[in-house]
Amino acid sequence: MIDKVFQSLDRDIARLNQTLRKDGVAEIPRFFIKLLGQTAVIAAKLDIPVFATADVDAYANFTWLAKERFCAILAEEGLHYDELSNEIWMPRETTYSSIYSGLTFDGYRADLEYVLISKALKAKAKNRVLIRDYLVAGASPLFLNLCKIYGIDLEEFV
Amino acid sequence: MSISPSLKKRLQASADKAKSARQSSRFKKVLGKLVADGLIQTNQVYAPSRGKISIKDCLWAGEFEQRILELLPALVLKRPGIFSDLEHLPADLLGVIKALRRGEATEDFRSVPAASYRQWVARVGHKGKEPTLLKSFRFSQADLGCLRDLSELGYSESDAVRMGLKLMCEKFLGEGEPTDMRATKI
Repeated sequence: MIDKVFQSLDRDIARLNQTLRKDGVAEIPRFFIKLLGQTAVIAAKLDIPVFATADVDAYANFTWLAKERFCAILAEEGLHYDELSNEIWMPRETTYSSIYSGLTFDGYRADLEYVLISKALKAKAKNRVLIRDYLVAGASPLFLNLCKIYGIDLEEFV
Repeated sequence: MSISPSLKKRLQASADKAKSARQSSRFKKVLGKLVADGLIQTNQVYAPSRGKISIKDCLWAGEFEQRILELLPALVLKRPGIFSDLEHLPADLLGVIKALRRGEATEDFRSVPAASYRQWVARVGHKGKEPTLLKSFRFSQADLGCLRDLSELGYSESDAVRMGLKLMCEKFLGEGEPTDMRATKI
């Protein structure tokens, strides 16, 4: 679903920029949206069941106008941008994979292992089942290494 | 770091139990409703559930997916019509609902922090609307006269008080909408 949102946002901002250009007003500068949380987990296309609420968490450097358009397009899909997303803690080593490169912005998702570490540390109860299923399906060496770095006790996910 | 065989075995047993629960008709019915209503997104396929769902089933399914418990208090409060067994609310859920009605929900609900379940009150059912609270004030005859005059312009007395509060907040606090009034339609 997020692919559809990104495509729609890109078209929308491109149209808006065209109008702004004609009117001699500064265009919306190129920006990025980095998906976090469950949206990033769903975008990672895991084989294990993933559930999420309608909230979309993302770091982004967009202008007010671009954010308004993003929120409106998400709302059309029944989704809601969490405006406190910039407060979400992510490990400092977090890497992001490109999932969209449009005319007006770039879309990324935080790589799965880092999202799961963030969840394991900051919202253990809510994500216990997800992390346990991930461990059973075969956690990556990177995830296990990050667990060691951040002192995560895997016994807590049984 | 690696997972010890003993831990792996226990994780597997626990995952098998959850998998079996997720394949049950009770879980599918609850998720079918929540997914169809756009409250939960998932990478799994659930046939949309028709008819009412049971609170008992939601509480049970919530043991395997905590986001269901996060949504449940707001759903009971704002969309009671989707449940078949409202008359059998467990004491903890009833307590949370009462606290939400009073705008005083601060206790966790089955490990879900209050802030997490409270946020859904304005976002499910009639969106943007939160329960209103009853407050009593003593007004002078002059104040009542103002309220009457405003009501002749087509505003209810509550609307007049809300508008007055909004204007004062804008003037003295520099805020467009005070936090408690975001959900109030004026």
